[in-house]
Amino acid sequence: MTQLRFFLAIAATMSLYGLTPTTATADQSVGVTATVSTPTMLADQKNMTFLRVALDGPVLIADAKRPPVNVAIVIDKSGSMGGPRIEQAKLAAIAAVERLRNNDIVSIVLYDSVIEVLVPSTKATDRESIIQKIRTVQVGSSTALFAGVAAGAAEVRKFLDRSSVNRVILLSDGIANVGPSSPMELADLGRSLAKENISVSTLGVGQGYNEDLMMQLASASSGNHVFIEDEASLVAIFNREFDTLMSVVASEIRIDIKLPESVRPVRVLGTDASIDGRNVAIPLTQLYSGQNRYFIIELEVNAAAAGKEAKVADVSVSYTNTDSKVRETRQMAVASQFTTSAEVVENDTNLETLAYATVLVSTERNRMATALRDAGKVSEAQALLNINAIDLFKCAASCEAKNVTSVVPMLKENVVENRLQTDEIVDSEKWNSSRKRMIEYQNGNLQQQVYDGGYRSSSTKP
Amino acid sequence: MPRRLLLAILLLIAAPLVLLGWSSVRGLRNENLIAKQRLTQLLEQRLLESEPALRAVIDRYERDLSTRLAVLSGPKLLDALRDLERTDPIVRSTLLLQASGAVVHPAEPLSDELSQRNRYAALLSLAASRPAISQAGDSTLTKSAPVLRPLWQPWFMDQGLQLVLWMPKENDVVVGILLERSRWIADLIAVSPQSRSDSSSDYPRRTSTPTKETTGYSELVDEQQRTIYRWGDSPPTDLPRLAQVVVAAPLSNWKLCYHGDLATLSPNASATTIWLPLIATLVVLASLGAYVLTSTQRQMRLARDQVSFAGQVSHELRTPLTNIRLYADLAKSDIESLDDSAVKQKIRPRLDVIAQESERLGGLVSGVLEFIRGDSSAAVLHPRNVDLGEAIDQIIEPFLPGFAAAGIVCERQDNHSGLVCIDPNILRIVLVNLLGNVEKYAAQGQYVRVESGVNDAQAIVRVCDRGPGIAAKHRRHVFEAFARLDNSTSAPSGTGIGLAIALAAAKRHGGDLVIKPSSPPGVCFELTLPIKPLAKRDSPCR
Repeated sequence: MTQLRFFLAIAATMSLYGLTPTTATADQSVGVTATVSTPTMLADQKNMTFLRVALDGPVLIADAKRPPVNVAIVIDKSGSMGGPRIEQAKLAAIAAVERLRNNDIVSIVLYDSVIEVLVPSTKATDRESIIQKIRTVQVGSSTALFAGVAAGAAEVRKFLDRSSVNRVILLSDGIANVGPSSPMELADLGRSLAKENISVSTLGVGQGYNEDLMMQLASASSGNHVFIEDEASLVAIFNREFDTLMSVVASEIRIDIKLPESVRPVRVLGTDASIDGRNVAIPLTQLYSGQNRYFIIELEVNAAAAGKEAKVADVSVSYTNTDSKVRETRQMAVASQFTTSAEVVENDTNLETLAYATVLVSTERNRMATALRDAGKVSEAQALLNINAIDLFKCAASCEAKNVTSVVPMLKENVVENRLQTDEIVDSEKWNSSRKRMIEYQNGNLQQQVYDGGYRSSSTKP
Repeated sequence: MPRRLLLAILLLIAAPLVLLGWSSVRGLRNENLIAKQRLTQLLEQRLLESEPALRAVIDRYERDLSTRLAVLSGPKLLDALRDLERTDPIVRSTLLLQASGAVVHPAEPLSDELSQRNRYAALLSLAASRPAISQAGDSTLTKSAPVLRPLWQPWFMDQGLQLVLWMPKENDVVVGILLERSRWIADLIAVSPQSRSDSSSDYPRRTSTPTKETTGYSELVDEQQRTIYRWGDSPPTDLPRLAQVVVAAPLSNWKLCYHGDLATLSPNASATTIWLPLIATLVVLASLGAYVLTSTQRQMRLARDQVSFAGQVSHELRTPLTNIRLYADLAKSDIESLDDSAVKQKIRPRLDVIAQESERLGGLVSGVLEFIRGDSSAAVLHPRNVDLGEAIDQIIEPFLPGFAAAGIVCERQDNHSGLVCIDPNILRIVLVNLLGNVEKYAAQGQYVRVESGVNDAQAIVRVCDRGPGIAAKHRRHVFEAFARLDNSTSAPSGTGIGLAIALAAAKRHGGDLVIKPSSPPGVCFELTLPIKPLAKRDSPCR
């Protein structure tokens, strides 16, 4: 979240000067760190620990040179989009197309109950004619969301360059009612697309869309998910989506974690990673400029004798630098010490890693709270949110005490968010809207999304 | 009468119209049925055109995956499978089974995550349910050159049909690949036609030609009848399914369907094909009916004119006849007052003949009038006690001079004596007509026989002649008004209503007049009149 603020501040500043954020130059590479929350563990017993693998996208000054993007804009034109919504969507799409350059590739897919490829995948050289076509769009009937995404992906695939930036931007305000429509099916599709390095960003407009479906689709393909409550902000959100799209610094990212025999993978927090025995593989399609992307893996380390040092994990991260197109690999090993002193363990604790882990753990609890609220169990949900707030607050307090200030604002923000949600989830009438915000918040945390729908901007953002 | 005629003609017009309408509606329905079948066939054919593209997608998976795993074995194979899982968009999970059925890959998850464990359990059950593929590979027949063809297995998990590709490898090792359902659905969608395409674009694009001009859409439907993908013109409301084809294995439970509005698809000439011949027939029949109606009306007017003419003539005759009879009676009484002389003797019988003939003529005239008017006043009977033979003799008497002149022998026979109660006027009307006819038409037979009798409270009078007789086919018509058997100018004169009058008179009395079958030549009429009970003294019997 800090990074997000920072990035937005920079983005805002740059747009002031009519500049756009751009990508890394060849000499600037992705920073990879791998740390455990407990570098020193208690000897002679099993220890649970969090392994954090973090990727830092370098923040770069504006440069006219950026890698070409291959983007499909998929717009829901079902009946509910009628009126100002479709007009705003058209304006947003037009603004997006205007930002493209000649070597970018764009396609525009419309869907209601059937699919219409308004602009087949093409180089964005004749942007004026594309814009003319966008202006002709009119609303139709039902919502074939799955086919819309499939068609958008098929358009992107026509000029697929795995090392480049490939994206489907889905704009929808309705529930999918023609074709596959469960969140799981869309997540499966997203996961499959991610393997081709195509990510899907889902922009939910209004109160009518299925946030679970939209979030899981985005999450599975490492795309963004945004809740756009008011269609008036559509153009701005679209702009931000394109900002991130054009600021991709690394793509085709492979994160492999090999664990020694003495370590057992328990789970990967908030990410659908593949765990095959002691090999953990985490999919990630791209890293944005300035983004701090991290994954937390919960591990169980077998008992070891005091004074011994044991390897916890071998981490390997490889990616394609989108600017230089060079394949780069970072490898590192993470090890732990063993001691009999609980005090040493406490003192050695990596608070930063613990803080990130706490955020993800609290996010998982936040998701459970959503499920409880869905079941009508308001007080139980509130109890969970309360635990979150306390945990996060305690973590922030110990970070402050140990002078680990970098994570404190992020933790406090999450405290505030959980506190606010505790109140917001009570009102049944506003639950639909609050739920969409909650889902967006969860996805933002899990994916370290670089921008959001801006709902809290008035209340919590400086 | 004209109203009934009109109704009959309307019926005559309506019946064939209804018949024709019914049959053409039936025909049209049949035609529509055939057209519908043909349309369904056409639509199915069009749907089948989309089907190879779907099959090609599945075939491509089979080919690509087989190629990737073709030459690999041992640990290399396992690595390749892991890599497939990770990088191939179409691969969801892979399985590696030993000959014994033991699962080599995936390994039991170490992680606590429920989703990982559930997936592992599902894959184990998939491994257990795999088709017997390895046996086919190492059967004795094919051992020399084992054909290790991949085999598709449809499998149901999560949202529905899942596709699993089994590939037998060396040493009876089997590789199973569970495809990513959402991905192959997306790929099927990508090769299916799109709804509207941009014609101005440079990219060739498949369009849904069958739906160009009509409202309708095609659908890919899964095994649970859920719509997977739709293309064509989709209206806000769902349309009925007109045609469907089954997609080839392994998607064998999936269908391609066409939904459309039958009304807009089937031939549109239905209304005109049905109405045009109907209207044409109506016009023809109506003009025919109008012709028949007008000509019949003309005929009837003619007949009516004939009748009213006869009526007028008869009416006009009445007054002079009355005068003749009056003056004949006056002349008779004048003559009675004269002295007897030869002249007086000569004149008296002549005056008698005048009186009788005029009376006969009067009877004829009132008969005609009565017949024409159907006069109710005339319908009143005046029965009284009559000696039948005597009454007949009186009636015959005026005819005798005529008979004699024509050489007709009149034979009489009465099989009854005594009084009967009948209306003598009726008897007179009938006999006068019958005898008149003998005089006019049967003179050549030179014979007439009048016999009477009483039988079963009926007076029976027969008049038989030996004239030319009446042919059997004419017998029914002789009693109809204005029916004359010979209308030529050479035929004897006559009004043509004599027998009709006679029959009407007999009927009025409750009796009948019929032609009796008799040995030719000649004809034999029989008059039957019911007898009333005899009255006291000379008063009318009732």
